[in-house]
Amino acid sequence: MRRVGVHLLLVGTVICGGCSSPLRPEAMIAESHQPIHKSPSAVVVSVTGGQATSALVGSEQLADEDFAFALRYSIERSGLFAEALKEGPAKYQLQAWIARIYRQFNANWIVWMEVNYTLTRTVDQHVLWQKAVLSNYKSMVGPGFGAARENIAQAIQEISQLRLE
Amino acid sequence: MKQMAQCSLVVLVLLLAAGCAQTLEATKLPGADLSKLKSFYVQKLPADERGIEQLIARRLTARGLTATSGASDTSPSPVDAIVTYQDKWMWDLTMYMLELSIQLRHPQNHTVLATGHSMRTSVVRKDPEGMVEEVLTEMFK
Repeated sequence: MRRVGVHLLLVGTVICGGCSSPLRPEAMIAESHQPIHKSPSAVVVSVTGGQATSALVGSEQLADEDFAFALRYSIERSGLFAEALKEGPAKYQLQAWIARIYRQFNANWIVWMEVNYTLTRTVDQHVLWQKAVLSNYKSMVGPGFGAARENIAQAIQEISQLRLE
Repeated sequence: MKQMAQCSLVVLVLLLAAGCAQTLEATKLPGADLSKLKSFYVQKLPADERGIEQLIARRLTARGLTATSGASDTSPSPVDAIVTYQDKWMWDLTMYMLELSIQLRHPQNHTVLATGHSMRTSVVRKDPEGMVEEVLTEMFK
């Protein structure tokens, strides 16, 4: 009978293990497939609203620092700004608030993510762009965090259209 | 025999726990003061055929606030916030609301001011009105 209990425990572990995967912030770095207007200036990036990162099905969460890392790295890689900094003097400030992350199962997993972005000019705190970006990502095998990558890609495209100096 | 009974009990508890799952949460934009919002426009979800937008508007009105609803994504008259929502339903003998998410948005740029979410599985189900009420209560508290 003890063997049955052990088997039950193993099955449970396997099921739970299959529903989660280690999340690396690098997996959220966005690729730009369209031309990006490149600003020679620097931007300071800050993120709030996140919770401890979890890729477990049903509790998808992102930590502020993980999303900020992916956002900064994606911005620099795209060339949107010359530098994307954690802090320090910069011509622009980009604030992101993770409003919500939720998932749906409808044949595939779909994760939705909505982020409020506010881009301001540092010198006078003038808001240049403000938008809630909603993204989603479908996956056959598990939720993943493609929605974060898509969200960043959309934000970069929209900011690029401002053609900042 | 005793071990078999214990094992069955564990399985039963696990099944019951899964059937009783319930979450209720709300977040708001840092610095947002929801007490200043007095008028709302609830934007109907295109796929919603159950009139949840009217239910949300009624529950806001019951709180002493002004609320209208409609299919347009902009309010016909100026309001303090736009309300959007997503509902998910499941079948268990009868259809019931499994999840409800509500967002309060800036009336001009539609950025999110606050979000609320409730999920209740079949055993702990509430009627849609109860779900709307508990999400709004969590958001405005």
